[in-house]
Amino acid sequence: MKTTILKVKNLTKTFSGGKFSLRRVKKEKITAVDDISFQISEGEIVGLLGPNGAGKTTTIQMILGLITPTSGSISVFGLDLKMHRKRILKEVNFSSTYTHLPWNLTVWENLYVQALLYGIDNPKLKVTEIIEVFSLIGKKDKEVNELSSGWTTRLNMAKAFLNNPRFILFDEPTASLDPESAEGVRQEIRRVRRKFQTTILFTSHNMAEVEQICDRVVFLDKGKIIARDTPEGLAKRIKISRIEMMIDDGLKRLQRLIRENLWQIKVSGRFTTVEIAEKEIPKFLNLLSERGISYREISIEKPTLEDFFLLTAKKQKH
Amino acid sequence: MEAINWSGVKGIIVRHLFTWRRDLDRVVDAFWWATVDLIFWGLTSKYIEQYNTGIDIVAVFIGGIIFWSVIIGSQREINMPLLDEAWNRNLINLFTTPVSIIEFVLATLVLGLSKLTVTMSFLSLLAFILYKYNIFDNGFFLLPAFANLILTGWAVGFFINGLILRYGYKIQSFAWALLFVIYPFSAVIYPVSILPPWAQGIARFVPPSYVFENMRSVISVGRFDINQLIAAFILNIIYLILAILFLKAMYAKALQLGKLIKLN
Repeated sequence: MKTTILKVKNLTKTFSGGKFSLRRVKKEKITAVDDISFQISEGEIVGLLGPNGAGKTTTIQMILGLITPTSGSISVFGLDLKMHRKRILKEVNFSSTYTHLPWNLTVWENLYVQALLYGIDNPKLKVTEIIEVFSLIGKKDKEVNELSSGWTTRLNMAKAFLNNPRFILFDEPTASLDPESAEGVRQEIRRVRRKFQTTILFTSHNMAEVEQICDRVVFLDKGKIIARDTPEGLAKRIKISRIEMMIDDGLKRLQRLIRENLWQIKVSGRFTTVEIAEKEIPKFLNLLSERGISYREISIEKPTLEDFFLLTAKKQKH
Repeated sequence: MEAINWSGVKGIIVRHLFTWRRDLDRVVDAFWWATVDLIFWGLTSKYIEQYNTGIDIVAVFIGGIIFWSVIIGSQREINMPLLDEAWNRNLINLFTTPVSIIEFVLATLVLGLSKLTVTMSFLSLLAFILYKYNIFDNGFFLLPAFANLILTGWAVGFFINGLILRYGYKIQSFAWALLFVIYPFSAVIYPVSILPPWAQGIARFVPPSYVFENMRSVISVGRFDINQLIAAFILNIIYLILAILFLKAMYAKALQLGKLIKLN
């Protein structure tokens, strides 16, 4: 049985926002995280997903000890975070697009300072090692303000692996990157994870990225966990596939066919998209030939994690 | 209670030493304003000296400026590291390492003391060159006087840090002005006796007032009252303990309200 690295139990965070009026101060309570429980085993990469305001960042910040929970408990490596914060943080690290290392320190200086903060033995040697692992040698004497966002992210990643952490939290690590740099970071995460066998909790708005990297996903909305599964498992919950094709002849017949079977159709320029249950695809293709509807450039898109995300977000709005 | 992470304390100190090496703002902070004050008040006192007031007005003014710079410097060096981390959006990186607010406090004390030593040495040398004012003429009085002034600066600094953690940048203007609330009651240049009676009552609870009164006494009659300096020291220790407790409470409140993230 694998060791449990993180155990979150009945975690709740309520913020009381004050609205000032001349007569009185009205206190509004906002529940950012609402009684959530989940756990992560050693070596897993778990994605924490959800739309904006779902409570992902608040959850991560509570796990890092930056926000005190209103109720519930967090234990890391079997230790209670409240009681053993320092001991836990020695073996945890964190990287986010939204935090920065001091901009007027060089790459080497920043990593050296971080090594001291984590109390790493022989910090200079460790910094040299990590600079090699993340191919930062050519940039080691550059100040952070001289680095591109791609190199800054790479530095943040190097910082995140500096203390050989057993557990890393990544908060949208590729958010500010172009697709090529983002792919580089994903490869880096996979490579370094294989090398160090690190457990990772990962947030991202890029669903393809999550499908690529994560073993499992915890889906939050309005502070609650609404689903948890593998990325494929969540995608499979969407039973609708999309068939996109170019109709050469018989668009009106196709529209009638769709109406009869209560399917959905969208016509956009030369392309027609039909939304249909996966098991009905053979029937649909047969009906097309029976009714003499001719088409070309057909493609069938299976549901993805993004579809699950969009559908859930849509449902929650209604 | 968890053990002190001394490597973490060193990390914070090294981080700011790296910054000082290449940040002109920090050099300006340390030398510029104190030098401007010293020149301005030095020339003013030279001018007043012509009217034979019967007291060594240059020594009173220059001594007052240098001694007041000790409070300002020690307070600023407690606040700057916190603000520097916030401006660099590095607070989250810092407080997700195994470093606690107490280790941060220890590091800022070491940083503050070392920078203050450099600033004071420079000011003392400048005062000697420009006005033949030798700060060491104060003799043994310098030691308890400086200790008291540094403690006052630290207490105010930690109190301001607590306010910044709890209320964020919107409190900055008030926080910076806070030291100047005690300025009139500190009797930096004038004696406490010229304050109105109600203000004299307040001055009794303001430790620097004892230091400046005794500084003038050393200048005019060459003596100081050690009991008064001990009273100031006791007050300072009480204020410092209260300020650190306030800072710890405000840090806990900031964690509860998510203010650390907002400050970042």
